[in-house]
Amino acid sequence: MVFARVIAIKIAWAAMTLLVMSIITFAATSSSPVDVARNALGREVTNEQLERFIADRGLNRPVVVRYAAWLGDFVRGDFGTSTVTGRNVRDDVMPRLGNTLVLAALTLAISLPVSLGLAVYMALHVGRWQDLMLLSSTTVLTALPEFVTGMALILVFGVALHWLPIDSTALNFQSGWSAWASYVLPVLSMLLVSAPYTIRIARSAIRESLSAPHTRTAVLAGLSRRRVVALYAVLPAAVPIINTLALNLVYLISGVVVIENVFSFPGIGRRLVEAITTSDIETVQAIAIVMGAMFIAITLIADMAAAIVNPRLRSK
Amino acid sequence: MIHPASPRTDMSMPIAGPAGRNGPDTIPVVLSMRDLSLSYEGADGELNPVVHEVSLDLRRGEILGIVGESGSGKSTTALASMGYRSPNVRVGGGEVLLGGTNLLTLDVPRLRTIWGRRIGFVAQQASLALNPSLRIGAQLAAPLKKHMALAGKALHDRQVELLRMVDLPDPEAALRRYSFQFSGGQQQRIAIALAMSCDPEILVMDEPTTGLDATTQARISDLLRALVRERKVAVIYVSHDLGLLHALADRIAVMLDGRIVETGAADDVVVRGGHPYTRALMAAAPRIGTANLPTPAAGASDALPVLRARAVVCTHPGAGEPSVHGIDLEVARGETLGIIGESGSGKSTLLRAIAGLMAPTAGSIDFQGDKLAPLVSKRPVRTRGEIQLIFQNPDSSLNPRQTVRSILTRPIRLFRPDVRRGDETAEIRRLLAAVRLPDSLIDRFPSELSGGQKQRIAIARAFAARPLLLLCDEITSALDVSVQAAILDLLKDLARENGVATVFVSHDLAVVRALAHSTIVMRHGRVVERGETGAVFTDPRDPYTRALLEAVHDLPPAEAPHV
Repeated sequence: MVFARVIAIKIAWAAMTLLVMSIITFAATSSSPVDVARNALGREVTNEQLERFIADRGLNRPVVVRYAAWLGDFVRGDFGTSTVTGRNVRDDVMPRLGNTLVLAALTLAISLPVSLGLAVYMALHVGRWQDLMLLSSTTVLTALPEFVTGMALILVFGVALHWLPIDSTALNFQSGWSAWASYVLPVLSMLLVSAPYTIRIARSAIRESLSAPHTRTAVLAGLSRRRVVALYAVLPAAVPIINTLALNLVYLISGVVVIENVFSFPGIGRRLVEAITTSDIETVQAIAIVMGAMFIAITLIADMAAAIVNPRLRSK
Repeated sequence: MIHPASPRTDMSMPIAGPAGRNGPDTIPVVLSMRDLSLSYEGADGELNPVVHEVSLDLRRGEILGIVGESGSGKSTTALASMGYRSPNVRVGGGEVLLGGTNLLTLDVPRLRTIWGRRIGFVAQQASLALNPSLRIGAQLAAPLKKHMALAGKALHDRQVELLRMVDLPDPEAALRRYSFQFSGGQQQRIAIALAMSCDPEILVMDEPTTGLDATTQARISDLLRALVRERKVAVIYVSHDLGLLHALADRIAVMLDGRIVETGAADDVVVRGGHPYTRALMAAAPRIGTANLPTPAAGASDALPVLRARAVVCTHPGAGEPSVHGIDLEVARGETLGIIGESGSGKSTLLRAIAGLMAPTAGSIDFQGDKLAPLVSKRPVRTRGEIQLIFQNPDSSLNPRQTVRSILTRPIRLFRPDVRRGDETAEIRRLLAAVRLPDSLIDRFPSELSGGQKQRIAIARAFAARPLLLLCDEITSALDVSVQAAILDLLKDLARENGVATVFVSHDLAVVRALAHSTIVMRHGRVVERGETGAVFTDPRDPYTRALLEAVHDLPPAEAPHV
């Protein structure tokens, strides 16, 4: 079947991209064996200690061999041990990845219906005051950097109103409502930063298909307004909307770095910054690979979703 | 009163005899427009009248043609006959009566019980009028569920019956397919099945066959005649093609600037039409049957041909069959070669290969006796200027962000070393004069020009390079008939004055007949017939050429005007 073949090709491409990305990550984060050893052992070391460390870790092997070994370990799920913290990198990163994924999933789950609803509303009122007001608000929100949005939310809901925690560290040791409360402000700021863009793209795509001849055909077949909007305006506009959502998700994974730091949210974004400041190479590598794999997976899923809603892409 | 469930309660009048050209007075009127006036509301709230006091009666089982050029208000009138107005259209007065109800006073929820149920609509370009994301089955099911409350097997049977009615092959499979998996003609059949799904009394069709091949057009017309005969549906058929309406419609209304200037039985309007505009429309329409062939090009035979193609084969990447299958042709200085064929015949691909936009897979193309590089990027600048291409649609071939001046300056700078920098304006004025456009357009943008003016600019751009070979790809098919005639005359004059060799590709036989000295008929990438234009048209040897000629609705010559 053609569709299956298209998917297989896309998956093969994704795997290739991932491989290339791992090479770049490895090359960018590997420093000379001596630097690695010095970084791990501190300044006061003898040459013998350095050499033993290098030999023990296999750092004197050729770079290709080291890369292959590193990749092999990674594929088997062994992210190695941090030379800085001495802890297992996988045990360190995975719970934080879980937190970040919950954050992204909550944002997406709220953003999708809200953006789509607003976009349909705006497209049906194009040029009227409701549309113009919402449109200018989305422009302002898109222009604001995420740390400004985050700070503003902290000032209003945390400092002035005392409604919500401004620091999400509580996630580490609390459960129940107070844990969920830690999600509210980060999710809200991610929404305010990412949804306006989706809304604008969806609005113009839906607006275009609302004025397309096939929509007039449906209207002049006497179909109900709800049906016309859902099947003749939104459905044909789904491809650009899905692509925008995917881009947005990719943003959510990377924009999360800033937002997590604003709210001290215990996710991989915050961990990444910590690892960089402490030169924790193993952790940086692991997070870079995990984030890259997520980018690629999201793009792949979006491509497949676009193919499912657009039969034209499927048959190509 | 409207009863969606029993649509024909108003049809209580006796039906006396068949619909048609005989005794129309005894056949009940199903829809009646009275003094209908409509305006467009501009952004500043200003009203622009588009339809003035139009009155028309539509009788059961008749085809009423509305003919006019773009901007005449014919489509706006047709849509208003369903009670539909675009958001920026305002009703200035009058009424549209469907069985005693004025559709213009109904709100949209009430109109939805009429649209698709009592009045069906078929739009131009079915490829755009069908939903690309829904299967044909789902699109056909929607109105049947809504208006007829059909479900399950009854629904399925009705869907199959509808597709069978429009002669679509394998209806069962078609229901599961998407619109883009069908040809243009099949898509229009599906659109007609959709409009006819709930057995409406009235069908409103807006240029339903424009853009389709002549033979496809003829088959759709046959289908429509059968539907009218069997189902007694009344049809409003909007078209710019007077020849087509003469062959198809019972009555014709001629629209000009929002007014009906003439209405009557099709033959009366076409043959004895009294209004000057009708006569102008008829005079402008190129005909196949009449004489005035282009005069033979001087010295065409002895000199070296400007263009000589030998055994050219073109295969699109990924396609198995070549779209051009070994074509030979020659064009001499001052000569015009017409290439006729339907979409998919390979005629445009051949033209693209000559232009160097696509490399032929085999064969050779010589220009002025020298072998041409297959791709335009490998050809010397001089040759690029000497071979010019004019495209079908000036809307897409002219840069909307450039003024006429900058559009024309570019080829002058590129290809005309004889024009010094700073002297371009004089040359542009000369070019504008040559394409019969006023100087005042020089700083306008394409969006400020009419369709005909835009195509003249595209022609001026081609001539700016002083070409030896002009390649024209369907350059009149996006234009109104009266504009078409003027563009053809212009091209004829320019080609003669400048001694340009022209290859003119078109699916419009009459246009080729008016312009070309010799003609090639292409089908499936091969030449099925070639010869002098007169011979090809009067004495076609190939059955395909004959079928093409028969599919065209030629207008009869107009009688002398009544005083």
